[in-house]
Amino acid sequence: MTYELVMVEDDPIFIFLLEKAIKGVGLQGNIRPYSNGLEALNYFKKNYTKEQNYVVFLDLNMPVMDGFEFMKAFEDLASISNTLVFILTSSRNQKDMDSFEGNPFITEYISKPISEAIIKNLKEIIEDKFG
Amino acid sequence: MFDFKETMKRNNTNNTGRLATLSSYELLDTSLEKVYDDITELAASICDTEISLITLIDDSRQFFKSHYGLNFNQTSLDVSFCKHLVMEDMDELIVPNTKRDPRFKENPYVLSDPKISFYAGFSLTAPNGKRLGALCVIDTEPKELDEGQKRSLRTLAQQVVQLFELRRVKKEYAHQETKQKIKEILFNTIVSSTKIGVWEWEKDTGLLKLTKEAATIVGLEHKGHLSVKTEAWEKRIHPSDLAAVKERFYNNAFVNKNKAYDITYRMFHQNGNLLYIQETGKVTGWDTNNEPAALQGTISDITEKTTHNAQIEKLKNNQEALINGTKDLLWSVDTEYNLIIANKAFEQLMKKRLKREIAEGDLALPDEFSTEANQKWKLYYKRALSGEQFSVKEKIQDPSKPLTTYGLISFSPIYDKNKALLGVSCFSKDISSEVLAQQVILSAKEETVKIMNASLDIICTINEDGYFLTINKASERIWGYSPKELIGKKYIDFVYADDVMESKKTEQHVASGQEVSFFENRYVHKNKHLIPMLWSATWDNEEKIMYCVARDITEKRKAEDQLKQSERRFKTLVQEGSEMIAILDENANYIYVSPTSSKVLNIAPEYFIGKNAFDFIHPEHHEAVQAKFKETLNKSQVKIEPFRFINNKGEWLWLETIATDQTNEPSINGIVVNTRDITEKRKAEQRLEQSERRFKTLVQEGTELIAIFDQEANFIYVSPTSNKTLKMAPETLLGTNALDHIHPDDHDAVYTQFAETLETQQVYIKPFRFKNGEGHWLWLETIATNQMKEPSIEGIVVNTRDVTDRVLHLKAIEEQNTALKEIAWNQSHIVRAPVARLMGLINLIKEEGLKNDERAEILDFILNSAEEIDHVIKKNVERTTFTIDIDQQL
Repeated sequence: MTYELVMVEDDPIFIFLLEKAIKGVGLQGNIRPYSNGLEALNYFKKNYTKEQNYVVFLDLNMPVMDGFEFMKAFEDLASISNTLVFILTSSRNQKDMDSFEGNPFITEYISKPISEAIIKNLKEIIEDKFG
Repeated sequence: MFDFKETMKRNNTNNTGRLATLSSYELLDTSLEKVYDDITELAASICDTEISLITLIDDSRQFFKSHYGLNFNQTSLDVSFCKHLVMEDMDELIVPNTKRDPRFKENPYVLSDPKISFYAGFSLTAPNGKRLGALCVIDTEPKELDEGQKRSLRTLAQQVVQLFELRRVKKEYAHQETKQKIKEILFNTIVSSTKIGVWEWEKDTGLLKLTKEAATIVGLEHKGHLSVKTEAWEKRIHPSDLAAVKERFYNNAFVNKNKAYDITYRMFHQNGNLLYIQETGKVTGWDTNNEPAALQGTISDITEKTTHNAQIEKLKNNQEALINGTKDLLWSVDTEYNLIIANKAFEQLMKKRLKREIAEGDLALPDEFSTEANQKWKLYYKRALSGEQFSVKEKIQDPSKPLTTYGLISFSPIYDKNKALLGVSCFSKDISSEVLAQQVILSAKEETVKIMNASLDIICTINEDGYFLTINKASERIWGYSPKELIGKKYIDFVYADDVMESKKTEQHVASGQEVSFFENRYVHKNKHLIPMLWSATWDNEEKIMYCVARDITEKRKAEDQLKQSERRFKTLVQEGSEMIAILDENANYIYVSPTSSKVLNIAPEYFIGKNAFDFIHPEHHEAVQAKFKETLNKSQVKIEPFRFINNKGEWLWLETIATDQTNEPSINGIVVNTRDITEKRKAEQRLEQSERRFKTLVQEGTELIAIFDQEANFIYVSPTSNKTLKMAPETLLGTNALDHIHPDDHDAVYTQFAETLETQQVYIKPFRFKNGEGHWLWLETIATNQMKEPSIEGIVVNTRDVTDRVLHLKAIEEQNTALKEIAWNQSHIVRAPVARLMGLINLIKEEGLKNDERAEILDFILNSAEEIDHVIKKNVERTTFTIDIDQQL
């Protein structure tokens, strides 16, 4: 099964680093980077299908539309059966994690900086789900 | 053509008065009676005719009461001969030859059987002058009557009327007397009294000719005819009556002329018995001196009737006396509510009420009475007429009496012997006195209840099973139970458990007839307190009721207890109390000292004897004590103000003393001083004074505000410190509600906490905002204590402190915390983001095989990130300096 790798992150350096790490561990999906929640949401609104699997890397602090707002809209639009959402945070801020408490879309919290070792772990989770 | 004369005649016949008179005799259609048949037979024989009749002229027929020589008893009126006597109003009608008389020659009885040729009729005239019919003699041959015959017939006609009259009397009697027996006796009397004898007297011969009946009456033998000498006859007459008898001819001859006389006299029968004779007679002939020469008449024996009459009269008189003598009302009404008979009392009462006489036969429901009253009485009569016998109680209004009288009226139906209903007899017995007595009893009862309820003591009745029957209102005051709650309950259920046995025992004593007084027990008040009671009780064996009076002796008990206590106290005082009693002489030398001196002053009593009291008193007080001590000689009792007194250990004690002059009391002969060591008391007083002063300082000058509230948080008291604390005078706060001064945002919290004082005695109320006298909000902290039950306070005491400074401080710290939190957030998000980037970038650089341009790009990223961090740190430092200046903000 194929999947799309959707990155929602305003910091181009993190995009750069994330792309490097993804390539480094050999994740196969198309990479779609968006610099804020609204851009990503527009993409999903247009292109989301049940037949396609999605892996979403979501930063929380972003201009225009932050990660919290995006999730709220995304939950209405997508299904957990074909989506995995990883939250990217620069700190393991407890408050941020509490706001997603019990949300079934959220698979993991990833603390920056992103290393290949972390993405390797994610690869297992992704392949477990989407084979 | 209208025949006036004929109409007049018919009117005579049909004159209602005449017909009424006729019917009043009740003769029509009655059967034959021997007395009348005797008369017709006699008439026929006197006149020597074939037929003799007694005819009664009805409205359309003539009825024969007796018909000698004819075998029918009535004919229609048109063929009647006798009707002419009535129609033409004649005493006699003699028709010697009917065939020659135009009135009769066409009469069917003339033309055919019985072929009347001769008719002589004599009017039967009632005492009221109405003609009833005739006694007539009839023959088939023409005839003339001589004067003698005519006279006889006239007399007989009178006799017939008399018989009718008797008959009516009898009937009237029957009406008057309700008892059938009397009716029968009367009837017999009348019948027997009609055995009439006929006599003729001639002056010439002095002989009295008697018929057989006349002879029989006096017991003489009669053989065809009988004449007796006048003297012989007169001998038989009762001497007392003789003169009247002798007089009868002459009186009647001159006074009444031609009219029949009537006399009753006593006469002796042949066998010696006394007879009552009724004689009628008439002068039939006159001599040349115009004196009666011949008389004719009848005698009849009325002994039985008279004696019975006398007896009836006597009986009636007795009854009447009884009936009329009583003040009770007796009357009877018939089925139409007409009065049959009434006694004098009834008649008098009615007369008083109606202002007119009420007569027998009048409606017993007079129009003068109210419709309601008449209806009520009608109902009573109806009830009795339906066969019921009953009594009712009624008010009887007698206008002549000031008081209402009451009658117990019995109604009972009256029947004749055939059980036919005749009317109602009523008997009203005056029961005013009974009713009055009842009313007196009732009002006495009410009075008793009033007295009972006015009583401060409990008054009650208890039945033999121990239940309260009655109890007065004092129960509510003494036991807390209202009479309603007690009546029907067992008294023992209210007695204190420990006293139940004794109370039951006492109850038995009372029930056995002993009068119990001064029995004491305790009752349990509704509020569970015990109430000592003092009882006295008596037993009413007739009603099986215990009458009890009980007094609340709580006060008495208290007094007793106090007395006991004071006795004990006295004992303790003298022997082991804290008071020393001493007796001094006038110079203050000790004569006696109580054993308590060892305890009070630490000096044995003996030590004092002979010494002077002033030796022990602090010199500072000498003057004052001396002055007071001298006062006792004038004032008998004096209180000496505290002074210092030295004890055995050399300690100065403060003593308080009361000195009483008892020099005149032989058993004492000195001045009694009661002395108490008040050193401790003084110390305590001083301490108290000090604490009071301290309290005063706190309340008046402290920073804490003390206030007292009622349950609704209205100020009852405010300490003067409010001036200082709240910038408000206490008076401006009094009566206002605390919540009105509190910041609206804090209302609910304060009120909830304040309300908790009703459950928890003391509550801490968290700081809240309160507008002070200058319009500023103060933060106040409060402790509220419920002192509702403390009689000197009865409110919620509040200690309040101004904590504005502290609260503002706390607020500032809170604000600072918020700022710090922001810094921390910055730290985590803004500072750490570039650091994380740097770390990621540096990891990349470490990798080998990086192109030069890639390396350059990464280094650019690193520089950017480092600059970003620098910027963030600068910002944080700015923020921190800003937040630390809290104190200056305040």
